[in-house]
Amino acid sequence: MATPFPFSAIVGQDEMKLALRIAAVDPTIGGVLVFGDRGTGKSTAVRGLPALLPPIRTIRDCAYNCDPDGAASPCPTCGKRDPGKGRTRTMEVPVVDLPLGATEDRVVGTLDLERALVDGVRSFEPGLLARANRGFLYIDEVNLLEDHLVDLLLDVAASGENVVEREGISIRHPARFVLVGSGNPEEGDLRPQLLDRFGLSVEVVTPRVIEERMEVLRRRDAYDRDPEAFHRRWSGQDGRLRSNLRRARKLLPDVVVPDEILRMATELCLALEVDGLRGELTLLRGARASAALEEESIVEPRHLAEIAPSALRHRLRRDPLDESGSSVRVERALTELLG
Amino acid sequence: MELRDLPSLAAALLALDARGVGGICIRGPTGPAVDGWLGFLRALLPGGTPVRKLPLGVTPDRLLGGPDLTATLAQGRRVIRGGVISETDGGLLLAPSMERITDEVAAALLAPLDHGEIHLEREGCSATLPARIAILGLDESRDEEEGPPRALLERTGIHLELNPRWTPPPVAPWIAAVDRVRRGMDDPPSEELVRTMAAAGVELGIPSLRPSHFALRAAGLIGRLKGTVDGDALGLAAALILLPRATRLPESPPDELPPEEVPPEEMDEPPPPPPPDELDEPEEEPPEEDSRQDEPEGEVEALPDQVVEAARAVLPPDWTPPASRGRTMRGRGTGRSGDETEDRARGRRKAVRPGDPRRRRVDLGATLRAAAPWQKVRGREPGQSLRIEAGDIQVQIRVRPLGGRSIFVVDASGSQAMRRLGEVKGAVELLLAESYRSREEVALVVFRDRNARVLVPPTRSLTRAKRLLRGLAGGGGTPMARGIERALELAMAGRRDGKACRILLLSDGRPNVNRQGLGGRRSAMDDALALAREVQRQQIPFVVLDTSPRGMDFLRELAGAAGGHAHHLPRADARRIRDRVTSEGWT
Repeated sequence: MATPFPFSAIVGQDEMKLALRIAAVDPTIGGVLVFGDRGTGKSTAVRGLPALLPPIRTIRDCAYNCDPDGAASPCPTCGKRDPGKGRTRTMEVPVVDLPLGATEDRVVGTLDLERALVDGVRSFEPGLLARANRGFLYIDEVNLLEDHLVDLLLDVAASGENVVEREGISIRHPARFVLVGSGNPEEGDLRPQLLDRFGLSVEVVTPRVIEERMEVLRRRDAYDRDPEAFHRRWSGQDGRLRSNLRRARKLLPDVVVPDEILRMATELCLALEVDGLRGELTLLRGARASAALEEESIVEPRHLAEIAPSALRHRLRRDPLDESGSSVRVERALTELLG
Repeated sequence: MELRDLPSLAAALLALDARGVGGICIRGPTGPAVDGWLGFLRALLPGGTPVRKLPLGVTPDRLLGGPDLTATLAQGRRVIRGGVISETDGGLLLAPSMERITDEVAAALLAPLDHGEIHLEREGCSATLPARIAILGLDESRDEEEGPPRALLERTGIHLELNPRWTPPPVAPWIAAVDRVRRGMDDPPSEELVRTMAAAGVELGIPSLRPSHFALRAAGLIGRLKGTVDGDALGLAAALILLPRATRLPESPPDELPPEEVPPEEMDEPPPPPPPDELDEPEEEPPEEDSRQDEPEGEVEALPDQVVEAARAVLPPDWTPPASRGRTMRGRGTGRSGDETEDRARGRRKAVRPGDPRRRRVDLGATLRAAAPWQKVRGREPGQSLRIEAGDIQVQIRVRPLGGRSIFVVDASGSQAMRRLGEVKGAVELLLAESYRSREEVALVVFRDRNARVLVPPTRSLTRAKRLLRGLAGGGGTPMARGIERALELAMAGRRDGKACRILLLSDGRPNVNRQGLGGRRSAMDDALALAREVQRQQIPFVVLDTSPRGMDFLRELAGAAGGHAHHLPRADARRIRDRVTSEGWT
């Protein structure tokens, strides 16, 4: 397999990188939406993630990447197996691409046509959701995907389980993954109801500063010339991010959220007229993960401020004549709150 | 060997590093020129480079690889085959009629183009196959059509307009030059080169860094073909990759260029590309190299403006940045509700369900899937044909998009142009902000001076329209006929996609430039009226908003000829225009 472009070698795009790292620390954050210009390294960043995460142990021959030590809801194959039996293997955290043209069968899984034809057996052929279990599911141009498919993906991502009832097949299997969707607003909007269901939403723009653009071009050129050497050069940086993520995951359950922070989160959501609890919850989870990434055990206002734009900007009511305003509005409310 | 002949140069770059320069999209009708170019390219490509054709109707399993159903049935065991994409690893994927490539196919190409690999998964066993492909697209769409998917055009480096009269130069010197570069050292680009390309992207209003990256690679290769990476090498790279995407040009008219900008040895040469009849001249090894020996190796002093000038020098004299092209890809399956209507003949496949094969098109794959589980029960032995019953048959539900296309034709001539344009811009933005519900597309044609251009191709994206509207200019003559003609083309293309189209003309005066771009009041008015009558023949709703202080008789006459009517709106602002459009029942 080709050597992916190292995550740490991506120039700038700090908000996107932080959001992805937060989702890696706390997958319950509910998915990351990356919206913005083309050619900003969106898919490159997602593909660079596995190198930052510890490999996972799975049961060999299991199409659902089941955890040999995991107790919760094993897949249809592993469920029939004796616990603790079966050979295991170690694999990289899966990052599964969901191409725009993918049919529902390919995503959720379907009747295995070949086995049906050849052996006359009705069996289930797992889809992309099975393969993404315990990893990431990446959709480029998510705004162009059918609404019902996005809905389905968000449902599965939230419940951690894929339930299939089709073509005479009835099956359920674990599908816990972080959904990462990216898109370009020039191609169209995402339905507001769907927007709200993503945990974090980040805006990416291509760098306008010449020096920054030069650095992007330089690194890309070096990578194209010799991916292996480039990878070696950045392995130290990626290694530091990897140990940081590992420590952050371990630390996360013990991170304390003081009452003061809870109150600030509520006030911020009130000030911005964010409906529902989803915004507040994401805000708090994000702030905790952000503190864990800084290897701090208590959430501070700056952690809240760091994550607030990503956690809230896509939940604000839209003002048709003030299109670009949502990020600015969050910043303004933050300044008023924190002084 | 004439490096400034862009088609030959493009072929040489593809032969040297097709992926590095991002492949190519050739615009123009197929014919001898394209055939000649393909032959020329094949002569330059290293032996054994796969060039695979991407058939228009390619199925996902043939494209990506997967189980081979026919072989599986015949042999009674699972047979898996690779797909066209992985079989083209290290080569070029030839896409004829690139504008008709389906969205599914385009979507499947994006990841291999970006990351050079493809993932195959079947029943637990999954494999990642190398797929270092580059696109060789032949875009045969006409100006009024949307063209290939934007996501694909973005990932295609060279955008070339091929003149139908182009013929290939003698190939021997090119083969020699390409071989020489292939054997030589491939040094990393210099700081100056990186800086110039990074800046050129900003200067030309190309936010994405992909084109800059392709152009950087191309400039390095051109420099090595030439012997030195100088301003001209950068200009050629920009002409192939950056300028076709430019959304603005730096403000520096060519006549202000100091004469020493043009290297003396190129002053006497005729402007490229070389006419075919000069091709029998004996060509030696590139003379450029020798004449450049006095310059230090790899020196780049060119600033972005100079690169743009150098690039313009190799483009046709009347070249302007082309309108932003490319269509939006759509997902598939069930669409958004209220957005589509069933169309058995021409729609796209939306869903599959059991049904009557005499009424709708049969979906073979789904039918086989429905029949498959029962084959054992029905007593089929391996090697026998399938036993399919009426209840197995699955048919396709096909739909076409509902919704309309409002085409604004705006008079940008004369003294009031800028004010009117500003208000129209506001109206378009207001309409698009509300179009999420109404599914209405908006397009904008602007006419002024001698010509009309599609400033905003049909879009529903406010963001996209806003960006395109930034480049508005005004003043000059009034070629109204050309404006109506462009709008009519957009309307006809929209109608072919099943959209209800309408034209809204905003003007405050009478035309004075005719359809041929020549001055003269009478013929300009006659041409505009003739096109208006064509609008009526095609039964396209037509409304004129007359923004002159007292109302123009000609505009009333024009609206009548088109079968529509004129409204006098002397103080038309954004909201009034929007209200007028809405009250026509258009959105």
